[in-house]
Amino acid sequence: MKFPDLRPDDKVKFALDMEKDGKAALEIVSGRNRFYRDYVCKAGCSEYEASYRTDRKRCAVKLFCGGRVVYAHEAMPRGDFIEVYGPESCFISAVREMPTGIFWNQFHTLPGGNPKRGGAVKVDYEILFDLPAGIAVEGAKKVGPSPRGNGRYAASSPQKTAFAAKNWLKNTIYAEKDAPAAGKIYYRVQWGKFLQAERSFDFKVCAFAPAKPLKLIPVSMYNYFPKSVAEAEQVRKFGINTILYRGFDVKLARAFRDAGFFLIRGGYFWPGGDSEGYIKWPKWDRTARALDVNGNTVFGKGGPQFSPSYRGKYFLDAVKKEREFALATGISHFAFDMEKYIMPNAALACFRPESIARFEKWFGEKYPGKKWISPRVFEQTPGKFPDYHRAWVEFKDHNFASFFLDFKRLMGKLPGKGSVPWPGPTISEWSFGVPENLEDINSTMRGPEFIKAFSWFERSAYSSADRNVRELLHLRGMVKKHLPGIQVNIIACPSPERLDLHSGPGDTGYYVSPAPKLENELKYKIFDSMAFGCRGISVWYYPAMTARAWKNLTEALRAVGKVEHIVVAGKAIEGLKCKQTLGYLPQVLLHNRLLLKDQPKILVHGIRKGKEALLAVSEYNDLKTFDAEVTCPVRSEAQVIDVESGEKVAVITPGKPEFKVRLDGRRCRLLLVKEK
Amino acid sequence: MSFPNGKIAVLLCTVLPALPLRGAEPLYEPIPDIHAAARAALKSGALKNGQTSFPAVIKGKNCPGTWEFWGIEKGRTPADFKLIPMKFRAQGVNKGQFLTSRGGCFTDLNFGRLRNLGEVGGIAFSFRNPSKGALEMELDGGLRLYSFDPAKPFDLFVFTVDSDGKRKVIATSADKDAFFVIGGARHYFRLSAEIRLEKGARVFVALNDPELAKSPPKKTKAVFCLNEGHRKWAFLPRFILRSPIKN
Repeated sequence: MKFPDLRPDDKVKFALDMEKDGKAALEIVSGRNRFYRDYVCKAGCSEYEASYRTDRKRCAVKLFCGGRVVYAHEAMPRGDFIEVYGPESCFISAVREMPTGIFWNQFHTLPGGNPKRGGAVKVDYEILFDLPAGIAVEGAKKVGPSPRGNGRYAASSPQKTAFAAKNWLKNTIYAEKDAPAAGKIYYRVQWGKFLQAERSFDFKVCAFAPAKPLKLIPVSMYNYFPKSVAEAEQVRKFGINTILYRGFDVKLARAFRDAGFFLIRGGYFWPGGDSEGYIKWPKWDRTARALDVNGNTVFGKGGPQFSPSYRGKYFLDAVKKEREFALATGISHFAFDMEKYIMPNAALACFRPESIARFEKWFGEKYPGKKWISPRVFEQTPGKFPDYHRAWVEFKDHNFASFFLDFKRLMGKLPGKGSVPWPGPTISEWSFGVPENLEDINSTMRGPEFIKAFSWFERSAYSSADRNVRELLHLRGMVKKHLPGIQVNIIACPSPERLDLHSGPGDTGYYVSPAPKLENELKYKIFDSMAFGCRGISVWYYPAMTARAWKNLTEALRAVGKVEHIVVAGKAIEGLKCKQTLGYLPQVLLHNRLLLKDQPKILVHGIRKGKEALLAVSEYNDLKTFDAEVTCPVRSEAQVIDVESGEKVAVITPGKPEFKVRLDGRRCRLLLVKEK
Repeated sequence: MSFPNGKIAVLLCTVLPALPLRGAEPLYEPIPDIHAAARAALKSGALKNGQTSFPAVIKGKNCPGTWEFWGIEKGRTPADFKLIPMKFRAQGVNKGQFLTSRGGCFTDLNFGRLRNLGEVGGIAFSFRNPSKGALEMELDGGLRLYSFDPAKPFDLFVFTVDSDGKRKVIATSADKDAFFVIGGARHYFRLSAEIRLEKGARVFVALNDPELAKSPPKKTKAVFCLNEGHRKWAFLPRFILRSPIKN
């Protein structure tokens, strides 16, 4: 079998006839790219597919099943060409000032491509569009009617650079008033005599209305770095009230603040403004390197691993720079994004003399009278010294937390009210994991003290709304169990669209969720997060924003604006119940690894502040229209109001706290319970 | 180190002003290790029969005559070592070894081996400063030792030899904490030093066995490994440039 016309996003389709349930894996190697996809296959014959991209070099496809190669093929693209491959589908904005960007997956076989710039080659060519009336491409000239008729027209967008990579070439598309609600856009490249075979993608037009920015909850977007206030004002109309700022331009930062934006230092913050500071400091300064129990340098990402005991010149210099900037601009919140990158080998570290001296001091204070043994002795055989090992792990958490506490302390008092709706200086970290045991802390250096040092943790919501709410509720239970008495504040970080939006049957990616894909998933994720008490929203990330995501975001923010005072001060309601009229899910997978059995289909949770409570009632699996029967304990007669529509749902009393709320097309209802 | 509140301002003002953050970032450029360099030189044809030195490729720049293997003919300390260069002998395609004239010590690019042929008492490898000026370097990692008896340690040295032949000892196995042990059996010589190499100077990592002459002849006696823990930097002898090479 040959692929004579092999193209970058051709699909690999295969059918497997399995005797019993099993797994298969597809490996595609193209140039330097290696692509794997795992499939869970059910007994019987099923069809699967995967898309891939190749380059000028050979492309090899292998299919593994039952521990052996069941199919292998090699192919290579032929001839010189430039081609573009669009998205699988697209939501086009009907708001003229917020047009939609189409990022092409481009491919060429021209010589001399710059590998550092996506294989860029200077060449004149055109992208030809066949568009329905009402849909326009910025910079494209109308070149005549479409052969397809129906009022469609052909347009040509001239280009000067060809790339051989994804996301380097962009076209901006917008819908005018007379645009159809949905349709098809055809496209192809014309380069001299070469004409790409015509391709197409479906589109839907989405209109969205402005949303008033929230006053108490920061709403930001990752990877959105406006260069002027005017640029930022554009998104503020649609609810973005917070700018993540990474530079040191005092004038620009002050301008954002003067214009009324919340300002956060980040994302990917590291003191000194270089997000790779934790990699660079240990390279520059030997005293910043973590040592293992034998006294060897511990290596992490890209070089020596950072020692949490380091307070040397680069740390102090960075703090000074940050403090000067904060004093000049009033910026008061610093959003770290370290995940595990900073300490990939945390279990091995840190046995620097500075760390050991700190441990000796801490040990003397925490365990007065207990005989001191150096960790370089007892950590050689930790099993023989369980008490000392426990103390050492506790210290590792304390030592890592001290680094951030010292940063905050050195930042000192900052003038004014701060750049976020809470007093500073404060710090946040992307991702939050509950340390469940000693080994968790040992291998991450993140225990209760680390968690206490951070005011906020950002938490991703990239999969389905169903998984989001289940993970949130699971998190609440885990915090209660493993971190009793510790307040953990969460900033919700939903993705504009589910990351498994285009997953196919049998796919096993981390974000793949079996819950059906819904139209308003982003809105539901925000509703659930707000009813959980998340104190901020940070969408990951701006380049992935679609018109549908803007629609969801603005609709959600319009609703949240009415109840944000409850969100920022509410406490979880005990005794909330819901009749499981739809039954239970036999199993649910959280974080793609944690299996929970017999989980309720209908979920209700909420927070209360004084006489007001905020509830979210949702069902994301069956999608049937039904009345959810909810019990919400109240102290006096209360009205239940749908926050989004303002519609009165029910009146409940302490003696009759049950009410019914309909879940129809709306799969998550955000409800305000207002007591008299 | 803690920062009492009252002293914060003083600390910041006194320690910080002279420190540049941008523009003057210190260099940290690990040099591909001698084993990798020899393999690359052999593959590229830069290493031929009878050659004693081979190039290091640093950031894509070819620096010929940088790496060498040596036998230590006699002497107990770097000051009185008599060093004889080993010559490369190709063996088939992309294989070969450096050895002294009678094979008293040799390396097959994985292990440096020492044998009692009455010819040598030690084995070494060296890095010569390829720059036209002085070079600031770091030595980091470890040298795995085989046939190692802690009761009768070999002498291990890191020392420099400048262009005038002047020798300076940087580290020895007699230093406190010179060895580290993994798994209770694998012994490593710790390589952790800051080195300033003057123009034309060499830095040596040497293993010397003064007792070798007493052991049965022809028996492999002392071995060190140059590629132990491939990609695990803690177990490799690594040179790191801290100042740029001037051409």
